[in-house]
Order: sequence, then structure tokens, then C-alpha cells
Amino acid sequence: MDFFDALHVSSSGLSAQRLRMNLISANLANMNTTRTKAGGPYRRKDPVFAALAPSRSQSHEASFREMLGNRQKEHLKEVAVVGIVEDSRPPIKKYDPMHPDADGNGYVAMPNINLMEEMVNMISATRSYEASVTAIKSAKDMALKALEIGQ
Amino acid sequence: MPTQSIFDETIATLQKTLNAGSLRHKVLTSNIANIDTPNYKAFEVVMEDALKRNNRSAGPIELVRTRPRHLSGRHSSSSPLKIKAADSQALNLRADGNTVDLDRTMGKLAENTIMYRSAAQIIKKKFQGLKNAIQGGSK
Repeated sequence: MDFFDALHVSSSGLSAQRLRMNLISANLANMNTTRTKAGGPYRRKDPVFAALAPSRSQSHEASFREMLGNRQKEHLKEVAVVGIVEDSRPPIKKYDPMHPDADGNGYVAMPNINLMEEMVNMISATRSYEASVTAIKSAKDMALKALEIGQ
Repeated sequence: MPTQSIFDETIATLQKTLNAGSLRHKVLTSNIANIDTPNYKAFEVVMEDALKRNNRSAGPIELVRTRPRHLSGRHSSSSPLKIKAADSQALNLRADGNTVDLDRTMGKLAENTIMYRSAAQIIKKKFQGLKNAIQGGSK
């Protein structure tokens, strides 16, 4: 069913953008975090998105019609979060000899997080989420309009 | 005139679809209600496959049983719907062990609503057709 494929793909987009939003919030919240479990300051995190074919049963029992349908939907891709990577940019050295985590020269390693960059990412995530919501709404409207044909 | 030809399999099959839809709705709403419950594992209803299997065994092809211990081949119709813990393929950031994905659940809820309305509409049309036949198409 094509309407439902559209719904599934858009839902995966919503889920991915929500996770991205969570990571941006974590980055913003930890802008000044100097201690982490792994040691050193917090490093900003980014999600890695990948386009995957929607999960459907690929059993050998699939009928010819189903297999044809699967072949036709080859280009239909859901978005999946395949991992979360840490930013490789080195921490910023800030001179603050009174800080408990300062090194011998009085420098503290602070997370390399750019506030502007995070805000732009946040707006981008919000807009992408809204776009997916609109896509879901219109797929739903189309399906419900199709139901009105017989009335 | 046998009643089977009036009330054929359409209504029985659609009844199963409606039952499955209402069960699925219950499970989805329970998942949404438990969005903040620690260690809650999301459930899902497996129904399409079960319905398919049920329909196939109700068709003309039946397994021949030559020994009493042979399996009947007919799927037990007592409960074609199974509720099982959903296997979450999505990456989860939550630390509380909860596996509910709100966005995907809302998508499934929308899908379920459309499926339910479709089935309800077809059943309505079926009865309308019967009524029309009873009234001799006079109205």
C-alpha cells in the first residue's frame, strides 16, 4: 500500500530528526562541561543518517506480486540513524588558572562547541521535522480522500 | 436460498480486519501512554501475516490427513492476532530502558485509523448493497 509506505518513510524521518534534536540539546547543555567519563572535556556529537530500504518481510514465501512490488519500491528509502560520531575538532584551550581542571600552565580544555552552529542545526532539525509532519498529513489526507470516492 | 451466498466471506473477513484494527489501536495507545514508564518495552500486534495464513487455509486447498496424528494444516482460528514485544531497530538514546518511539507509533496510529476506516466503509457498502437488493432497488 503506497499510502502506508509514505507514512512509514515520513515516520522514520520524524524519528531521526527527533534524535538529532536530542543530540543538539546535549551539545548545547554541555557547552562548558570539562569532565566526562572518557576523560577530558565533552565532545560535540553528531548523528549519522543512512538511507535504508523499508523493513519488510523478505521470506522466500513472498508471492510474485509482493516481489514485483518490492522491486518497484527499490527507490523508496527510509532514513535510519546508523551511529553517533564525536566531533574530531580539538578542545579549546582557555586560560583560567582558578579552574579545578586547569593544567600546569593554567589552561583548561573546554568543549569545542560553536553556539551559532548548534542553533543553525537546531532550526534545520525543526524545519525537517515540520516537513515530515506535513508529508504525513498530506499522505493521510490523500488516503482519507480516497475513501470518499465511493460515497 | 442459502444464507452463505448473501452473507459471504466478505463480512466475516472484514470483521477480522476490524477486530485486528481495534486491538492494534489499543496496543498503540498503551505504548503511547507508557512513553515515560521506565523499562517499558513497546508491543506490537502481528496481524497481516496471521490473517493471510487464515485466509489461505480457509480456501479450497486443504491438507489431506492420512494419519490421525497429522497436523490439520488449518490454523487455529482461536487467536490469529499475536501481541509481541516490538523489535526496535532504531537507535535509542534513552537511558531508562523504554523502547517506545513516539514518532513511529504516531505514524502507525495514522495507518491503523485509515485501515479501520477503509474496512468499515467497505462493510457499510456491503450492507447498503444488500438493503438495495431487499428493496428491489426502489430507493
